[in-house]
Amino acid sequence: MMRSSEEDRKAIRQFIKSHMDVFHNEDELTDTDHIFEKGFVGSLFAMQLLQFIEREFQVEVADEYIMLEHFSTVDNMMSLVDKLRGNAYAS
Amino acid sequence: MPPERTEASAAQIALARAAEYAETAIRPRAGEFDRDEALPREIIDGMADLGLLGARVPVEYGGLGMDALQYGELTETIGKACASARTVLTVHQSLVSETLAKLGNEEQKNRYLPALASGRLIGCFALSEPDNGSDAAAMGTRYETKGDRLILNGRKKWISLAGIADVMIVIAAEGKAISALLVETSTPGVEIWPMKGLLGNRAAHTSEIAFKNVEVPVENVLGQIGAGFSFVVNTALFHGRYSIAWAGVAIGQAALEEMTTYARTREQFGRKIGQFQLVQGMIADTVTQVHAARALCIRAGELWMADHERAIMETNIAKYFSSKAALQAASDAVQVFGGNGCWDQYPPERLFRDARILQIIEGTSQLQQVMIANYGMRKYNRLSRGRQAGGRD
Repeated sequence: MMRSSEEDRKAIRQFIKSHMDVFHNEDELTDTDHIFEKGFVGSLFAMQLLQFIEREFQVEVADEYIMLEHFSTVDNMMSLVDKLRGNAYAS
Repeated sequence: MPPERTEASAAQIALARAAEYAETAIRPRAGEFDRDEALPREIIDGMADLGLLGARVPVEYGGLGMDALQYGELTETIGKACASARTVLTVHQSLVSETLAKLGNEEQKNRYLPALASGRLIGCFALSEPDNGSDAAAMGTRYETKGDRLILNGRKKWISLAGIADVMIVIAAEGKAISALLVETSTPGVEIWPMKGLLGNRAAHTSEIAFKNVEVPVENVLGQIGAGFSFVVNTALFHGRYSIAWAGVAIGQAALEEMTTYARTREQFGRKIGQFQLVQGMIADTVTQVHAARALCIRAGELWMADHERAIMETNIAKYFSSKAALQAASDAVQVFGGNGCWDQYPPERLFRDARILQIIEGTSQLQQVMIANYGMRKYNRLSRGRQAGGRD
């Protein structure tokens, strides 16, 4: 059964929280927080996010979408997943 | 009933041939390459003839399509024979071809991968600069977009294989955007000169590069504009670290083979030196360290093949450990050889110098420690709510 949009968001949030800098990992993470600019994660994490999105959502991220902006917030990642799935519920 | 026989894959055949080539053509001459400070073209061509320059390139682009574990075995095999020949794999294969296969567009892959896989083109990866190593934000090499051209200016330093490369991935910035550009070394304005007198990897054609108003077509941007560090560099360095982790196993194994052979033949006080327990202590430690380093590398390779999220961190751990293990093994080999270990007519002196390099390239040991410590404090602490600390997974 396909997960709901909210469950997808939760999976992304959990993945980010579990990789946040150890002295930031109690900070609140909102869906609009720029995770790189806020220092929650380093740029090395971008590649892990790319792999996570492809693995978790069974999509292939085309090279035109491999830009930091698409991976910078939970909202942006949800929009990316929706685009790749061809879904309409992008926020 | 006898076990079913299966046909060996092209990759398995290439691995067997690589082992023979490494032992007969490369290892006996590694000292000569080191003294000459140049890996001869005939050795690179010999590796290309066996398909090794396309080891990780997908079959559809003319490569062998080796999996991560096969590639690790190949890296150990070549690296045991000569660190500079192994550098051809790390740079041409891991940093350039594998990254291009992962992040290049179809036109770029079709244009470059078959030529890189066959060895018709040699690739290098230009990231480090005279005043800038791991700090990408301080990138001094800049480009300016002018229509459909990027005008590149700046300097790169410590670039392995640059002395013989035909195409490079150059990391450069415009404003805050860091991008990766595919630049052919024959382009006007590219100047390359060799760096001599290096501590190790002396035959790897390491060079300095200057870019003076070099025009690069915009279609030569690898990945997207601005994705040069976050995706291209990080992807390439992950591939490179995996290769360097195996390079540590390679030098450790080479040191082990040298010290055990010497300990069984060299006599002092009327006995073989391998009969002395203090020499046995060094051999035992080296066996253990090399086995442990190889086990970490295999683990990292298995996780990578399973597309597991921990593959990156386990690769960092393997690289950190195996580079330390290699240096200790090489140091102990020097010790077992005594005076002969301090002379370039015997392998341990070269192994010792080559091992030292591994703690610096593809991210220093200190950078690895920061990442591993953060991972450890996240994973093994007892503070995280609802999560059990420890665990071996």
